[in-house]
This record gives sequence, structure tokens and C-alpha cells, in this order.
Amino acid sequence: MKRYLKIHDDDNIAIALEELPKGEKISMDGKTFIIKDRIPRGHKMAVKNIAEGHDVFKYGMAIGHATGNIKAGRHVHSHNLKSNRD
Amino acid sequence: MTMGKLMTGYQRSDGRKGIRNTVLIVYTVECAHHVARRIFYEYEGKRVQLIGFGGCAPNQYANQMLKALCTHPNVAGALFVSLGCENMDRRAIMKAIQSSGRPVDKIVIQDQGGTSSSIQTGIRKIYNLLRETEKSPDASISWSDLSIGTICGGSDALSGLSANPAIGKAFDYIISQGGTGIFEESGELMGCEQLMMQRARNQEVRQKINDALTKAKNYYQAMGHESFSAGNATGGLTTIEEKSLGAYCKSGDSAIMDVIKPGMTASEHGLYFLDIIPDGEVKWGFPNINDNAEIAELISCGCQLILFSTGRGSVVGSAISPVIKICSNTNTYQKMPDDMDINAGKIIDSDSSLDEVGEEIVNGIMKIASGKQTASETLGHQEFALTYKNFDSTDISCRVT
Repeated sequence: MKRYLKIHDDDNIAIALEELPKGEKISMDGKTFIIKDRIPRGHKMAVKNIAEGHDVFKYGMAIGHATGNIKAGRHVHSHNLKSNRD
Repeated sequence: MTMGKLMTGYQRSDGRKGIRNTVLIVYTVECAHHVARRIFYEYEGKRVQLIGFGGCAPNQYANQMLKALCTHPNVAGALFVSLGCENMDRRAIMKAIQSSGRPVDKIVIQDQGGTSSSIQTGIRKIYNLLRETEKSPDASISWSDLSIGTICGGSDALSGLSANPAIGKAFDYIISQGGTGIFEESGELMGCEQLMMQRARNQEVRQKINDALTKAKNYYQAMGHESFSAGNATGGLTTIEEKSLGAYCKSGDSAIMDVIKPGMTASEHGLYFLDIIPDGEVKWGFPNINDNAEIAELISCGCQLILFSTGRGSVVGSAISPVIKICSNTNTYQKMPDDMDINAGKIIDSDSSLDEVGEEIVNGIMKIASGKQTASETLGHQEFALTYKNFDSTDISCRVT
């Protein structure tokens, strides 16, 4: 059973397939980071550091931009991600 | 994925190649539906299928659709069942079918002595059409002979994580091998405008995508269609483009060659966007009343096969082209085992990757193109829906085949 899914190689987020607890160590693409927020099922977690203003990628495409610096392991949602259309 | 092997199908005298050898019974108004259905019942389980248009008032789009469907590569011949006083331009459609080299016949109930006599005559005429089309020559089929459409229906939260991106992987492969892929769902693509335009192969196509999506936005606004709900955010979706990409990712990563409308075929190989939103003022209600109206439009563009992504569990198939059902989650796949072809839920609950399920879809297409039945074909599903619509000048830009 997978617990999270990164859809595209270019993505900087992964989707939690079950609730991921804060504090757990994750290894992905040769890098290791700690989950820094509780990530609810179906929600996004940063798997790389994303600088303020940079795009957040899912499906290898931009789904919006970071409104602040987002560290790997952080929950990514409306508090730190904004549509590029507004 | 390395598959040089060819598939086998049927050569049509107009140069196109089909993967099924179907004889159609076509009713040209609801008043002729019963007679057509009774003829069809005599041949149920054989290679005969029933389609038609219920309306009596004339509609250019319905004419165009029936013309495109009756000259579809999977279709070997057709019998028209007409009441007699309806307004459909049956003669023009039959003439087009005849020029495509396909045998075509008709029954006009008012000239045939009514219901019983028409049914008896129709049964005989289908018998003859089946004999005549038995000899449709076999053809070897390569990817460049195939157009494949994709659609989703009864989606769930996992559709955008498993079935849809896996279909995108299959689309990338099909197109890399010289095949054609067609996607649609303008209503689900809000927020993808810029991303789609970036994938256009040139400025002209970029403009067409922009026009089609602007038209879709206005149309759905007039119909009161909501695009992003509070429930989406609770489920973990943040932006409108993220939600739309969940459906859009079925199209894969290829460049978009052109925007086409129902009844038009792709002029080259590659990825095409089908614009299903009627042109002109908003009238006659929703653009498509159900998934099967959309599937019929993909088929009218020459799709010999449809990849259908579902999560909650759609059961439909279609007349004319096989529908491969790709399920987003293992739970639904196990609950409805007769109805599903491929379980993309493996991506979520086992070690399978998107690439592996994409490859499974490609292998499934090869078997089904060569004659293996899909789940919905085995169960006898042949849904078909055609309603009133209006498009500007579909005839003009249609490729002459």
C-alpha cells in the first residue's frame, strides 16, 4: 500500500493517500526530509523546498505559485498556494 | 513499451480501416424507433447495432453526425428505417454512405404497408447486408490507422491520481507511434486555458483553443454550472487549475495539433482537442445530456476505440466503437467486476506505477483492436445518444475522405 504519490517527475509536491503524521521521516528521489505538518488524505505535501513566487507543479504542470517559502515536508494548500489565474 | 506488432481489422473501400465490422440500423425519427428495434432484436448478439435520431424537425448537426457515424471505419453498411413524413434529409446521408463504398438500404414505413410488413422486410434486408459485408477484407492495422478517444464519467477523488494520468501515459505512447488521440470535456478544463495554449503547435491553434474555452466558459455560466466547490478544497484541491488538470491529464504531454468539432476527422496524426460546445447563442439546454452523447461525438470524429475513466463505476459502452473501462480504485473494480476492463487502482494500493498501468492500457487496446471484446461489449452495452445542437460550418473544415 502506497502512502503518498508523486504523479510526474517534474512535480514538487506529492499527494497523501492516507493521513500522514507530523515528524515522520520520508525518503524520496535520494533525498530525505521530515513531514512538518499533519497531511490529511488527498492533500498535498511539498517534497522539495519551494521558494516564494515559484510555481507548484502537479501533473508536471503549474497549479499555482507559492505565496511564501515552503519547506519540503510542509502541507501545501490555500494558506501557501495561490492560483496563477487571479 | 516496445510493441512493433500489428493488429488486425477491416479494410474499407474508402481507404479507412476499422476494428469492428458492424451493420447499423438507423431510425430517422422516434416514430420509426419501434420498427427499427424489432428488426434489431432478430439479430441481437450478431454484428448489428441500433442508432438513430429522435427529433422530427431538421437539424444540420444530427445529419452531419449520422453521416459521419454511418461512414465510420468500424461500420460496414447501414439500413435506414424512416417513417416517411419526418424532416431528416435521409437521401443526402444515404448518398454519402453509398459514395463511401458501403452498402446502404432503406425502409419507409408509410410506403411499406405499416409496422408488421416493415419489420419483416427489415429483417430480410439486414440478412442481405450481413451477407454482403461478410466479405469486408481483413487489414493489418498499425497505430497510425487508429484514432482513440478519451472521456471520464462517474469520477471520484482518485480518478485524477490513477486512471486519468495512466490514460495520459497511454495517449503519449499511441501518439509517439504515429496514432491519433482525441480528448474533450471543455467544461472540465476551466483554469487550464494557459497550459493548453502553451501546448498548441502554432499560434493559429493557440487562438482556436482560446476561442473554444472562452465559448465553453460562457456557455456553462449561462447554464449555471459550478466549476469549483467547497468540497473540492476539503478533499485537498487548492486551485481551479489543479482540479481541471485532474481531467485534462488524460490527454498526456503531446502537442495539440488542432481543435476539431463533432463529425470532423483529424487531418494528421497526433493529439486533437474536440470542441463539443455548440456555436452561437445558448439554446436546447446542456451541451451534452450524458456521457454517451459525448462518446458518440468522439466516435463521429473517427475514433475506433474509447478509453473511459471511471471511479464510482459507470457501466456504459457504446454503439460503433468499443469502450475500454479504466477504473480509478480497487474497491469499485472488485464491486463491479463484470463491467471493468482495467484496474488503475493498483497505482494507489500496490506497487504498480502509472507507466505500468499505461502499458496495460496499450496492451488492452491491441487485443481489443484485434477483436477481443471489452467488458461492456460482452454484456451487450450499445448505448447511443444524439440530440439537437448547432455548429457553424462543420462541413467546410471537414477532411474529404
